[in-house]
Amino acid sequence: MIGTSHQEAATPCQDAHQYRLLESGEVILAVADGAGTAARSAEGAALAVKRAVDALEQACRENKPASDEAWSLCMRQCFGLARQAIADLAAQDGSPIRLFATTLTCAVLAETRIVLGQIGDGFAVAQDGHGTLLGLTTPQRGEYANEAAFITMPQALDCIDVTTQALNAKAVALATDGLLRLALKLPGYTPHPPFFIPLFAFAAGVTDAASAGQQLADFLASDRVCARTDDDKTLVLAASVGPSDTPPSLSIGQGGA
Amino acid sequence: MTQSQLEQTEFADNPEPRCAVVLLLDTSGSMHGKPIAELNSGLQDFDAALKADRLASLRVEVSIIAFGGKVRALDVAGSPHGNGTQEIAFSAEQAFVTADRFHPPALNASGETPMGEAVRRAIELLRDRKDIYKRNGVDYFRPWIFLITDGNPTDSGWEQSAELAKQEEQRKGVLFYAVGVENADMKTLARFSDQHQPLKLKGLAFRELFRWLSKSLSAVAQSRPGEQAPLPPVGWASVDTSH
Repeated sequence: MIGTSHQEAATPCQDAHQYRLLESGEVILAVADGAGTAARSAEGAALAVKRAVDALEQACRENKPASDEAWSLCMRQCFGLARQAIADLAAQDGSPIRLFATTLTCAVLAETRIVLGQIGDGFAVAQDGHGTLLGLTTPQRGEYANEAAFITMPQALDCIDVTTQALNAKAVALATDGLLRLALKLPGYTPHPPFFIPLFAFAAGVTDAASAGQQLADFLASDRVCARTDDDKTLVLAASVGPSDTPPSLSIGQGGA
Repeated sequence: MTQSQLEQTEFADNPEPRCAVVLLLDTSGSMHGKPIAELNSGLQDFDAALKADRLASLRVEVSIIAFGGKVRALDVAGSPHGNGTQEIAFSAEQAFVTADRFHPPALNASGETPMGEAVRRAIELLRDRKDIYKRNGVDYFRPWIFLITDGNPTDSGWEQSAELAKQEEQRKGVLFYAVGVENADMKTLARFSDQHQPLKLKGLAFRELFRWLSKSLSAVAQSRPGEQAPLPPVGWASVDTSH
């Protein structure tokens, strides 16, 4: 049983996310964080996750990569398509592409492999069958706390971090940087277990996806969280429920500052 | 049941990101009287405004280097002994405090204007401070040097310091702002930065200046990735700063 739910915050939010659960078993997840000062970054973020997830789905259906190398290449191509979609929209409107500045983090869970692509300061954490937490990507950050890499930068495609890992993930979380300082321990960006373990336990126990999505959104909007971060924050959780051949459930929470 | 799991989440305890600023304050003899009194009042306002902003008070780190006669790093933590103008070592560990612990010293004016050495000291302190941040896993913003003077550098070799400041700014190590008071030589001040032209203080509007500085640092210290915090309008300066 696949369940999803989706909460949009009422406040303006430049974050976006997309996910797909394919009948063939793959799970595709993406989150993006539009730059706060770029006028049309919310559109950039929405388009980036949509185009990337569409392209990854198409690859899974039509020409599924069979090796780590093929997956890496596929992920890079999908980032290229996402950037091109933004460039096309910008050109069509006669706007500079930098107005659409956004980060992008994508994951594909395919059988026993997890493939991750990233530009910018999002992050992704998995939990394996033994309960061990694993950071899948390190947020890309500059020297200064207010510097970030965006898919709209001229050299963006050279900056994409792609990793593939042999991992039968029981649960995965993708998030934008609004949650970074709560969820990861600096300077190594190691996952903070007291944050993720209850969260993944929550995701694994989801029976009513609509209600779970609402609870997650409430959590992100709670005073406890907002006291620690004033940024937009998006969290996508995917977790296996029941026997291992069952597709994961998904919970999506999104909150705006 | 599930809701309680979300309530069980605990957050990583990371230090707040920091924005360091060195105030380079001219305390030479020509500042004696009303100028130094107004500068002291400005520091009081700066302190109050930063403390009123909770995040800024945890993120903005202040250091004061005074140059009047000699160049001195001042105790800004309000140590229990002395009157607050006490000189401390040029040490990146001791010279900075977060705004919540800032105690503005009371400045007195006398002596010459060794501005060149003061600028060099500020650049060195900030480099060392960044090393401390890196060692301790503390995020940080681009630090500021904020120079306020009513005179001309009187130390030999100030030209090298000006060049050093330009280079440091060029490689994005620091943001350098210079403010000239009364008869300050604006042409000389312009030699310290290629990126920010020096600003001429309107009269002795130190209090307005420091309220602006506090607001600017608050904005920087809360800027998010990808943001260049827009600075508030400069109402206290008498030159156009739009470019």
